Amino acid sequence: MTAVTLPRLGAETLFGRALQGLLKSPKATVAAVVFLFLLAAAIIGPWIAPQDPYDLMQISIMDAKLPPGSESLSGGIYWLGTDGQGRDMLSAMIYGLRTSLAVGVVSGVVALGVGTTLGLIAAYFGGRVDTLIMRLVDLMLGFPTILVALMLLATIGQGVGKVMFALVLVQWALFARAVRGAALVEKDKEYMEAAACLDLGKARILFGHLLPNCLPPLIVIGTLQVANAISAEATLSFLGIGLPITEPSLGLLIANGYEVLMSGQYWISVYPGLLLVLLVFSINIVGDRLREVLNPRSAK
Amino acid sequence: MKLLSNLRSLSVTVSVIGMLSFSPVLAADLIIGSSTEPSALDPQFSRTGNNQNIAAQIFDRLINPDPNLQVTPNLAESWQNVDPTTWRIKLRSGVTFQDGAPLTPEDVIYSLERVKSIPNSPAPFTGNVGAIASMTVVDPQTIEFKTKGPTPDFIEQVGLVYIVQKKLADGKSIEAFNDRSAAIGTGPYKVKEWVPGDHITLVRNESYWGKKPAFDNVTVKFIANDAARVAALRSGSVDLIDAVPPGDVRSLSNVNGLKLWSIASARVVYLALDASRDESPFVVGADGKPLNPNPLKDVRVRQALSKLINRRLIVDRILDGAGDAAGQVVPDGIGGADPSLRAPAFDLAGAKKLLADAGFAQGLGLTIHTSNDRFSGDAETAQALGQMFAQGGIKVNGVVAQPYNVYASAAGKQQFSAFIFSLGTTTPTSATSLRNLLMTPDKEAGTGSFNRTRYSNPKFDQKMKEATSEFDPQKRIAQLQEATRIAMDDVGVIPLFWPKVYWASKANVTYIPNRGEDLMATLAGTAQ
Amino acid sequence: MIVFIIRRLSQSILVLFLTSIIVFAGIYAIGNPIDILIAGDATAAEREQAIRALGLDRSLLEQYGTFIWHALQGDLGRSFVFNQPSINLILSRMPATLELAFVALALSLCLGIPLGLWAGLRPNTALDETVMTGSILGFSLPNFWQGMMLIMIFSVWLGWLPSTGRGDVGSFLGIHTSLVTWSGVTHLILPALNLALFKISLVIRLTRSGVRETMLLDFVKFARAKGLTERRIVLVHVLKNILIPIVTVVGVEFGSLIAFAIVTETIFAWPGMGKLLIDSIMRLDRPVVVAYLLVVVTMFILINFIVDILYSLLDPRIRLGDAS
Repeated sequence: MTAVTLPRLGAETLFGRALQGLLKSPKATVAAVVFLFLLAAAIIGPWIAPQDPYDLMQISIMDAKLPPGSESLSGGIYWLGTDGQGRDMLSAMIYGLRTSLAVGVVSGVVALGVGTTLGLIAAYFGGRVDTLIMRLVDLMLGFPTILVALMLLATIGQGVGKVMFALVLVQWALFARAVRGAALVEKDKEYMEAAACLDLGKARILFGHLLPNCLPPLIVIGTLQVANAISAEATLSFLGIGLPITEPSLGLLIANGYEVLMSGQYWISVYPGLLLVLLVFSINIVGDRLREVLNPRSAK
Repeated sequence: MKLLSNLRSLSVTVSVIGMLSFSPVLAADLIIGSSTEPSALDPQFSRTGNNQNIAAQIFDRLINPDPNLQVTPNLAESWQNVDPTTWRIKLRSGVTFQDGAPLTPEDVIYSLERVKSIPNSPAPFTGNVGAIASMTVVDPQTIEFKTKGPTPDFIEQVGLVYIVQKKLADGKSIEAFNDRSAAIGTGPYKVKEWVPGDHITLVRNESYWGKKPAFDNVTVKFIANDAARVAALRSGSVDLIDAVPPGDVRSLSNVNGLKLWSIASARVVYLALDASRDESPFVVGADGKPLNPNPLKDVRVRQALSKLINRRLIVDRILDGAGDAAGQVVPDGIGGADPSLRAPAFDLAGAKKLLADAGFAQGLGLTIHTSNDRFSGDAETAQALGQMFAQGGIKVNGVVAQPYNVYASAAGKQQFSAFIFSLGTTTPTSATSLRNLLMTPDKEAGTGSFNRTRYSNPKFDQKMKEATSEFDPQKRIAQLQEATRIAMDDVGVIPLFWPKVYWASKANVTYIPNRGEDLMATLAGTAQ
Repeated sequence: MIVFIIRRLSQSILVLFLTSIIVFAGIYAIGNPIDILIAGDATAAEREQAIRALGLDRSLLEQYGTFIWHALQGDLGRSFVFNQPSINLILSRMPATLELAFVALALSLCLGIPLGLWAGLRPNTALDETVMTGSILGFSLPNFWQGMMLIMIFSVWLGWLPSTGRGDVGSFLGIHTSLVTWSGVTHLILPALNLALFKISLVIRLTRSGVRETMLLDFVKFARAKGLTERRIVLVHVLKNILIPIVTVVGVEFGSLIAFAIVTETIFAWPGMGKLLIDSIMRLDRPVVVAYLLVVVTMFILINFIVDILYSLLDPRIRLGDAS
């Protein structure tokens, strides 16, 4: 009954509309296919990669820095060359893709969840709650990612989970700020008053009514942010505070090749770089299309 | 805009004066891209290389290390050991500071005393003057030193302290140096401008007592980032760079119009093994728990690890050949290097046999730790060690790379089991390095300051004590060699390699490569 | 309004206090600066002396107490590395960073808003597609990789622009800036572009989505009905409306432009605050890091404060009372 008067997104229609909308845009369709392909490659990576680049027994620095197409000591072909440790670049990139995707998506989504919730709560309740949350946002935005990551590295150690944690810690504040800004505008609109009059539960008002109307800016920043999280992980690796070196992500692979980029061994840095750009690019195109499709105002 | 034109006319005047007063030598300028930058212009504030690179161009020391780190006279013309605790140093005559004031023995004594009272100094020179009991002026050219005990290497210690002018420095804070009012030495260059984080400009000191350097104006740009520094040389915005990354050596040597200068460094990269404790956190059994007793205590295990390392391969593949496999702490050419100690050969079968004899044919788990931003190839070397140990039947549970700020403190607190460090030798003999790295840590005696594994070998300690109190240079060297053999036979640390150090320049610039890894305009010249 | 400002102020002081505690404890946890600053061949005695000289032998609480006591008197401590007042170090690096950030901001607004408007007013045309795809590519490039590529292409291959450092600094109307010298401008182009590329894309997207939403609103139809020119509608009424999200995001982003141009300043060896911060963090130069973050957090608080006020001016539906 309320669904008639209040803008609301049902799960079915959301999915259906998203899919329909995606397929209508050839660009987004291509991007979605590319993304799904990369996702699939990441998931089944261990079964399709020619080599397990994490297994020290399988790699040898005898094969280090070989150009693409070289033959390995054991007779295989390194189609994309090898890195400074003699890792097959193709395998390392497939494994790196897994790590980068996992880190980016998980930390992006968790940060989105935390940030959105806190932002909505701040806007809706106002007063002290708002103050507390927003000053916390001020504090977090003031902290450089690298310092947070270093502190965590020194106190809780190194690992994929810890990098994710560091990225959530630095990202949620951005979402919270954006959501609060959007929600403040929506809060005073009539439908909110209507919802309040109907005495719907607070959670339902927040997430059922306020949230969907704050979605457009959120999706803009959200898509940016998953991409950003992947880049941020790469940047941390570049600065030497990222993942364990024996289990490189795409960012770490780029960083490893950075030193030899100018000396002609371009493949160590360029291929993982291109893959990273392709990954982020495809996510962003899909996200961009979703934004257009899901926008409750432009969808009418 | 007005200021700009003023500046321009000023520089015109300066160059006109320059033309009038000197022979028609073309003004030669040099732009240097430096990997490090000084933290202050007070030459005594910090003893680290980044500060010394600049300090040594503005100030002089009593002695000067030559490219092989051997002692050459500088402000001290000669020195003489009167009895075991008395030294006489004769100062060079006719030396003046850049403001015209003559160098006096009082300046020297003041400078040597001053190092003890530099506020907030993070890397003081106090160790260099620690042996001094008293100083007296004998005549305007001579100072007599009494030492607390026999100090055979006295001149190597005090000789490295920079001499400042008492009149300018007395009672002044670091700001007086940084604003250049006290940064007036006796050295070959004067400071013109210092923009921290960006560059420093130097002009030649025309009244310098020694050989005039080749360049009139020198700009040192601080470019810490390796790739950026190499790019700056390639794009022509600098003439000379230091610390060329090994990966760039081959490609730079193929570039027309560029030249490379190199020398085997006196910096050893080594693997430290936590062999002094009964349990070490990252030496584990199949169950992942630390083994007790700690297998690294068994010298056979340490020897086996050393034999598993293919040093030649690491140098070839990770450093692109830019280094030498090491079997001891200092390379040939440094006093105390033992020519009989070659780098242990890669010997898989021998290593496996040693491990089996020790009861660890399998089931020994190890995690290797390393820094990733301290020296070229640190993280890569650790990974290569991981591969080599794994092929020898050791279960490598991980290779962990950390930024140096986290890594160094953790290593000092004995949090690792097998970890990589480098140690640079800056003295004419191996004595300092051996003392700091391998002697039993003892704050009173000042030994073992970098002995992070708390390695302790009484025979070695004894031999070192004999060596450091021996006045006869020949005997001293022989004792240092013997001490080295004792520690290396016991595998106190596993030396890996000495990297080569590279400088690169435009073809019209020459450079004198040196084991101190210094970057100074005084070492540069113009090619004919 | 005054109550709002006072309340905001007292909260901000609390935030600053909290920041100082976290950074202090955090850096203490990371490691001991002496391990980094000490000479490579130092004796144990030298090490002890250095630790005492920097006051690192005292307990963390004691060190913090001293810091707060001095901070309340306006002294944020001296750098471990440089032995200069940290605040002087930061201020001396600030002009270079401000210059970089302003140029980057100008680039992102001057390119971003027109491109966004252009695309937004012609939705679903080839032009729109191209601009939007370009903007997506713009933020799909990791900053450090993009910087490497810029150096590779424009400095090494083409040799057009210098790759590192700041050029000559001139003086204009009493302001020292490298924008008035040729060498200064050429040095500025690559780092500013590297810093701006992400923001350009961001501004394009924000502008376009804003335009598209606003053009559908009733007041635009109303304005058309009143006979206003399309030009006037877009440049005055629509633009004013879409400025809210742009102001917010650009405001917050400008803070990060100034505070954390770390990667760009590192790659291009730009002698600014970001470079100082990363160097200080890596050397555990605690007084500088603490002072830096106090300055930066203050700046963020100010920016957020200004954004909140601008919000209320641009959009009367928001009352400041809600925000306090």
